[in-house]
Amino acid sequence: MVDDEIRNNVSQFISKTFLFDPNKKIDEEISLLGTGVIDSTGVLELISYLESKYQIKFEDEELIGENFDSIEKITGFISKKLLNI
Amino acid sequence: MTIDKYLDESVFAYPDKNALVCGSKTFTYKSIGILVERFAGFLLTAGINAGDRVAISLDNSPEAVISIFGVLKAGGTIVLIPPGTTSERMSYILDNCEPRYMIAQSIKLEQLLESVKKGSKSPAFIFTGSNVPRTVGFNFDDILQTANSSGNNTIKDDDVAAIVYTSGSTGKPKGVVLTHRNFDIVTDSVGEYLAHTPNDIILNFLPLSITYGLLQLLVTFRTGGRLILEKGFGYPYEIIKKIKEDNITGFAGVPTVYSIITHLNLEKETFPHLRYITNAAAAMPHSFIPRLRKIFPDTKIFLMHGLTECLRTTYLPPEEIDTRYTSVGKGMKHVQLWLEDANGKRLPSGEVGEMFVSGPNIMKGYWNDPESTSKVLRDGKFSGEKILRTGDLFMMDDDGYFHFVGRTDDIIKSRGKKISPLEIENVIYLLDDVLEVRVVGVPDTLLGNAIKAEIVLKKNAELTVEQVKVHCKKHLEDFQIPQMIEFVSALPKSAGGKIKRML
Repeated sequence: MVDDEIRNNVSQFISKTFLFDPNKKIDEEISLLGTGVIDSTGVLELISYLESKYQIKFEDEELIGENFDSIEKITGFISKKLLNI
Repeated sequence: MTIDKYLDESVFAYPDKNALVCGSKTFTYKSIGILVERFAGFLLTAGINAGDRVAISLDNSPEAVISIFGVLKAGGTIVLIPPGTTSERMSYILDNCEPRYMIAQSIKLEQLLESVKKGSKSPAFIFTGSNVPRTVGFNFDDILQTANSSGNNTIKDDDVAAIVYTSGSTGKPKGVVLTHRNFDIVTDSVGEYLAHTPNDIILNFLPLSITYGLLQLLVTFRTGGRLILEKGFGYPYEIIKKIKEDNITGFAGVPTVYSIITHLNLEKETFPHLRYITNAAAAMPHSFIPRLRKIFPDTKIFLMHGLTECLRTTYLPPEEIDTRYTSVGKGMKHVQLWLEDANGKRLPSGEVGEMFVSGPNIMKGYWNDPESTSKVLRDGKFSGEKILRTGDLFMMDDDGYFHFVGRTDDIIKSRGKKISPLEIENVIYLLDDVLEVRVVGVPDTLLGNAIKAEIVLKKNAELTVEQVKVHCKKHLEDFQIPQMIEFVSALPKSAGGKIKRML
C-alpha cells in the first residue's frame, strides 16, 4: 500500500474523529498529543482504528510516541508493519 | 514565600542536581535557573509591570517550565491556557484578561491570529518551535540566547500569581485568580503529607496548564526534587516503562488514567521505588481501589479533593484506604470545611450537603467577573475572611471524613427523586469490560429526567446492553437503573482528562 493512501486515511480519521471536521488539515509532523489534537483515550481509539483498518496487531511495546505521535510517524510505522506481514 | 522563590532556593541548595527531564533534554537546577533569569530579564527589559498578565499556551515542555517561572520572576501573572483550546474560547480569554504577552507554539499561529478579536488589543506573541516572521512575534529560543538577567521583582505573597480558566459547566469560562499565598499554603501542605524530599523523582503527565499539573511542578521544585515531564498519558506502556526505569517515586493521576492502568497487563511488573500515587480532579471509582492495590501493593494511594478555586481541600491518609475507600478524607492543614443545606444551615454528620471552605487557599475571585464571583464567595465572620461555596455535595461520616456524592449541577431529578450519577457509575465500573462511563439525565416527559449511561468498553470486550441492565438491577434501586444504555467510542474530556458532564 502506498504511503500516501495511509497518510490520507489516518489524517481523515483524526480530523473527523477529534476535530469533528474531515476536511481540516493537520500538519503531518506535529505532536498529536502535545498540541492537544488527541488525548490519552483518543490514542487508544486511534490504535483500535488502525488495527481494524489494516488488519494488524500492535504489541504492547510498540505502543509508544515514537510510532504514533504524528501523522508522519504513524504512516511510516504502519507501512513498515504491512511490509512485515 | 512567593512561588518564584522555590526555584531560587533550590538553585542555591542543589545547583548541580537534575531538576527537570523532558524527553531527551535534562536540566540541572542551575541551568534551568539561568534560562529562567534570562527570560525574566527579557520581560523586565521590555517593561513588564507587576501584575501584567502573560498568557502561556504550551504543551508540557522545558519552554513551559521556563515561561512559568520566568514570568513569575519578572513579577508578572501567568495565565494558563491548554494548547488544545478552541479559537472561540481563546478569543474570550484573551479579551477577558488582556495579556501583555502570549507564549504559544508557532504551529498555532494561524489559530491565534484568528482568536484576537477585531478591535481588541493584541498581546505581543512569543513563539516556541520553528521561526515565525519578526513582524508577527518573538522567537523563544532567540530570547534565551540573547537576553540578560535583569534585577528582581518586588511582588508580595498577596499579589496575583496565576489566572486559570475553568471549563465552566455552563456559559463562558471563568478566570480563577490565585495568589502566591494560595499556592504557597497548598504546596507546603501537599509537600508535607506526601512527604516530599529532594530524593523524590516525580513523573508528571498532567498538563501544566491545569492546577493539578502545575502543583506537581511547584511541589517538586519547592522541595528540590526532580520532575520528569511527559506530554500526556497517551502511551501507557511507555509511561509504565518510565516509572520503572527512571525510579519514579510518585505520580499524580485522574480516574481516566487509572482506568487505563487497571486494564493493562502488569501482573509481572513490580514498582519498588514508587512511594505514592494520587487521585484528584474527579472521584476515583470504588472498584479501581482493589485493582490498584494489587498492581501497586507497596505504594501509598492518596485520594484527594480540590477545585481550581481553592486548589486542594482534603486528602485521605493512605492507611485508611482499605476501610474508607469511598472517602477523600479530612480537611488539610489550614483549611476549614463544613457542609450546608440549601438554606445555609450547617449539617451534622450523616447528612448530604454542599461543601463550604474557609482558609488561605481560597482564590481572590474570578478575573473581571464580579457577578460570577459573588455567586461563590461570601464574607466570613472575621475581617477579610472569605468563604467559598464549592458546588460539591458531600456526606461527612461520624469520624469527620468526607464522602463525595456529586456536583450540585450533576444531580439527576428522576421520578421525583434526587439521583447521584456517581453512585450509578461506581456500579457500572464494577464490570471488568468497562473502561469509562458517564451517567447523565436526559429530559423525559414522564420521568422528569431519564437516566442515560454512556459506556466506553475496553478493547475486544463483548458486553451487551442486557448484561449491563442485569448488573445494575442486582446492585441498584429500581429508580437508579438507567433507562438508556449506549456504547460509545469516546467521552468528551477536559484538558486535565476529566470526563465532561454536560451533554
